Amino acid sequence: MDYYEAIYFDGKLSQPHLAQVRLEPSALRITYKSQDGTLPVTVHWQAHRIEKDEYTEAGKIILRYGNYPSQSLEVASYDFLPVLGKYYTAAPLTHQNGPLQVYRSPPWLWLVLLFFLTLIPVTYFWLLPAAADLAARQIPPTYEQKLGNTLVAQLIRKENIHSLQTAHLRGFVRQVSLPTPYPLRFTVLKNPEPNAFAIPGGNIVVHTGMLKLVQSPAELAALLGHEYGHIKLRHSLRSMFRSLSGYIFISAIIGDVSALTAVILENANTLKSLEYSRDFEKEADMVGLQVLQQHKINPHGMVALFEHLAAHSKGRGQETEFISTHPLLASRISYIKKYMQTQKYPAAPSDSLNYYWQQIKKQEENSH
Amino acid sequence: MEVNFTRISEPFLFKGKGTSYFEIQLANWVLTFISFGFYYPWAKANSLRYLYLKTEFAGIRFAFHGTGKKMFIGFIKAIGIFILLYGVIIAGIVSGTQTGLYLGLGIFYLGLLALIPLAIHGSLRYRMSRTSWRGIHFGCRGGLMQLYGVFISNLLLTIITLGIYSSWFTVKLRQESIGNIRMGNVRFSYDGKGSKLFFINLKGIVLTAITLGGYFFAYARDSHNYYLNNIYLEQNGRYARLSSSVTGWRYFKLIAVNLVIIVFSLGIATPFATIRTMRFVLHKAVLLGDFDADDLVQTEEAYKDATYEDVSDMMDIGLV
Repeated sequence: MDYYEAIYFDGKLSQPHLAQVRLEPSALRITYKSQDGTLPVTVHWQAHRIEKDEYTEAGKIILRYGNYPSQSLEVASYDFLPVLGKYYTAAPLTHQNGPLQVYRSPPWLWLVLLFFLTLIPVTYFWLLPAAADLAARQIPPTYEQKLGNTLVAQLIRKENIHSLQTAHLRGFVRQVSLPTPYPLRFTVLKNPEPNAFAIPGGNIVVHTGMLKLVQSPAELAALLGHEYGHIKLRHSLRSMFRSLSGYIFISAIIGDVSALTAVILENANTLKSLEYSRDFEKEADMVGLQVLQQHKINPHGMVALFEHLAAHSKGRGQETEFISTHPLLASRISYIKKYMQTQKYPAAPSDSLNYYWQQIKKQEENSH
Repeated sequence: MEVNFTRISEPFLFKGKGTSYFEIQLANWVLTFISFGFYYPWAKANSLRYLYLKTEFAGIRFAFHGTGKKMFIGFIKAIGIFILLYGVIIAGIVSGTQTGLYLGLGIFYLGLLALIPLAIHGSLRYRMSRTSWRGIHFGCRGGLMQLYGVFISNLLLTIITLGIYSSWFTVKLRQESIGNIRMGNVRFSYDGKGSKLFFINLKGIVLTAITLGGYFFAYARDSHNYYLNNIYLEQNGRYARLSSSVTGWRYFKLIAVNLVIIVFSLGIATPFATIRTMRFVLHKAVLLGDFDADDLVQTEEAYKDATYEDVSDMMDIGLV
């Protein structure tokens, strides 16, 4: 009967033993000379308890045996493993569970891998936003309001609030009915950048630069109607969930949880320039138009608003923040015009609306 | 027993292949993904088993004995700890007040800080006990409280000195953690000096700034070599030490090429970069001095707790 040369470690000392390995019906017989070189020592490894090291290469088979500390055997022979497998088919070697076979993975496995790899972007771009959206809708308004207040405290410094214009703007808004699950809170900030944004929980912030830019009560109503649309449809919370879920997903894949800490805090500051999806913008535009329609305000105000914003950024040679975060202006103007053609608009805004508009504009002019 | 010491200069070798490691990692990612992350411990065990098995010293491969099953229990505990910590932040946000938020953040960061020694200690103990060479297991004998003592006192000194003390901090931490590593009857120690590391850091930072980053790779080389070259192995009163001789140019090549590999594959080819790094580090390392590879005696008890293996992962604490 033939034998294989191997190096044997007994698990107690690091001394390597040059051993002869023989395959016997129920066990591997390992024979080596003891340290003083006289007596041969024989060890038996029961076949069903032998472990083969995963990821060994041909010509370097490593086997382990027994409880801690385990014995091990290194066989540098190419035909040892197939013979071993054949010899002990009744009681196969116990493998440490690994996902792949040692030598060659079958071609179908690559197809499966490819399938799952394509699944990752599919999940990332479609499944995940949908799941985040669903989750955001489950958040109760009271919680959203609390979250919003914390974010507002982070974002808005008291000394930046233009209290007089805030009062005028709130007067303007009172003339319009805007039903939401939580009270709306409008704030005007001293900031020359023409911008306006919605924060979860019913907070709408308008910069003085934006009040300077709008030229008619209809434009202001259109702007507020649009932001109200974001609030009513809970766009800011939903977008926040979407952007957060992306991070969570990526860190789950890569296994890096520490990135999450930064994300939660970062979100407060990126909220201002939060990019809504194109669908969200369109939805908000439509809500805005409905608000205008309900209050007999000229819907052309929305078109004029966008045109003024576009002209402003062209004049500066740099896009305003509001536009850069609101994509595809031209297409929006065209669908608003299309919508206007299908509806009747008796344009006769109320006097009190005009009164507050005058107050706002007067204040803007006085400050310059 | 007769002790037969020989002066050796024995190199480390790394025999891993990018393609096979890529194959393993690809399967790991997919399985981690479809199991919603729960495969992670198994994935990690697979990866470590491969990298260890392909690392050779004096003709014999290292072995990693950790299993996904054991590490999974630790993984779940680690997730529990982090859910608790993030829960504190969320509670702070929900409270809706500024004080609540800062309190939540404060507890969170203090909790993370307190977790660092625990993570170093736990993962070092587990990782070492699962590593063997020639059938002899490594081990880590350090006490947790002792590590906490070193960590807290040196952290305070670092804060008081506005970070100047951080080089000494690093050395003390290395002395405490490496000094408790055993390989059978061989005792490890770290012989670096805080002052020397301080000058390496000072020189590195100043010259990197002056050369607009050009010196960075020489700086990385210096700190890499200073780390490895001061690791000593003591066996029956005789010493050997690691010696690493990486060069700044090769460091540059490693980082530049790895960056290209990772960025242009959108991270998919990271396993190839890992293999390159392993080869880079190990091919330039040798063990010098008196060392008798045949005379190691198994001394470790079986050690099973794997909790902090994953905590250290989640906190990005890199181990050797």
